[in-house]
Parts: sequence; C-alpha cells; structure tokens
Amino acid sequence: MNQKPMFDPELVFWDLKGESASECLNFLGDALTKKGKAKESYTQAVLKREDVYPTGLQTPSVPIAIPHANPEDAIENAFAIAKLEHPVIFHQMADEEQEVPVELIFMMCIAEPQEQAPVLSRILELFSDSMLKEEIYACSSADALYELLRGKMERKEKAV
Amino acid sequence: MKQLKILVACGSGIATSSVAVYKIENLCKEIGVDAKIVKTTIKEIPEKSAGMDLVLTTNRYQGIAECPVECVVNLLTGINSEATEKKIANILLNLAET
Repeated sequence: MNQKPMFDPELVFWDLKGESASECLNFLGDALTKKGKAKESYTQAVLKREDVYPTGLQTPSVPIAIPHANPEDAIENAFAIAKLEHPVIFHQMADEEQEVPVELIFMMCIAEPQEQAPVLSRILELFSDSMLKEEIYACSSADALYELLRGKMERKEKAV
Repeated sequence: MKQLKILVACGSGIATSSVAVYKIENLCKEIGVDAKIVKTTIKEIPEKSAGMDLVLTTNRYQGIAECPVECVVNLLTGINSEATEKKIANILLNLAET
C-alpha cells in the first residue's frame, strides 16, 4: 500500500467560516497551492469544474462535497478537509438542480488517479456509516478530526 | 450470455468514475455477467457510447447517447444503494441475455 500519509494535519480545518461554496473552495484550494500540492491554476480549475459537474453528495452520515480538478493542475496527491461552521449550499452530483447543505468538504488534489481512486472509495464507505456523524461532531478541533479520519482510514486499509 | 460493453463516466473521468468502475466490476462478478468496462468523461459520452451496451454515470446526463444511460451515484454514497444495485443488475442481466 501507499506508505505516504494519506492526510496532512495542516490541511484539516475545523469550523471553516464560509458564506458560499466558492468561498470555501477558494480557501481550501489556496491551502493546497500554498502547501505545494497543487499548481496556481488548481483553485480556478476546481471552481470551474464544480460549476459544470457539481460534487455535493448526500450520504447516510454527513452531507459532503468532493471537489477536485484534473491531474494537470495537481503536483502531488493530497486532501484538504474542512468541517464547516455552518452548512454551505453545494449542488448534487447526481442532479445539479438539487441543493445539498454540505457540512464537510473533502477537496481532492489528484496527481495520480490510480492511487487516489481506492482512497476515495474508502472515504465514501466511511460516510455511508450513519454513526460517523456523531463521531465527527464529537470532535472539536482540526486535530481531533484528523485523528478520527486517519484512524478510520487505517482500519479500513487493514480490513481490505 | 454475451460479453457486455459498459461505459462509465463522470465529470473528469478520473475520480468518481473509478470508484463506480470498481463497484460495477464487483456487481458483474456477483451476478455472473462478463463485462468489459471503459472509463470516460461525461463530455465524451456522445462519441464513446457508440458500440456500447450501457452507459453508467455519476452525474445526471441528459445529452445524447448511442445506448441506455443510468445514473449510479447511489452506489457511491450508500443511499438507496441496494435498490440501485438491483436495478442495474436486472438491466445487465437483460442486456447479457439478448
């Protein structure tokens, strides 16, 4: 398996304040760029893509969004994760006319799709467990959220 | 039963479609359908759906296609995934038998 850590504690944010989806996407996109994970073009590419192919998903636990761009805008695989202070409206992946009040954003910086797809698959499996909502809201800091998600993903990896 | 050709599409052709491919591969194995699965982007459906038996997408698709199109986002999120799985399984079995 991939030995590189999947998540970066410096790219996990708690109670991100944002009035709109694009405000949140700008913040997370810039964080990835500043960390050297994404190119300068990344944030604009994500915003443009979100507009055409929205990434909001209702899940059995927490409504999430999985914004991303193409590998040409990425430098290396990374995730920027934010639990939002207030839900922000995204549009549904399956139907762009439907809104989703997103509570958690998983922004994906995809440089090597072959490596990232199984990770996304496991993330989506995590969110299909309705119990996860309580565990997320029992966190009260970015560090706690990071530890929760990291632990869950590692257990998933072992179970595979 | 014939081998099916399935096109799986999402916005970028790299993230959610990869997860969908994995789910569909497993589903095909489970129901004993032999399928060749190809990944693509939503934009390329009109062109790439020629010669395919079925197109599966993670976004809503209302454009043209050369074969039936179904949205399988539920397989990713786990909401109504059993019903969607059953529906897709039936479609696959029907297509394979014709």
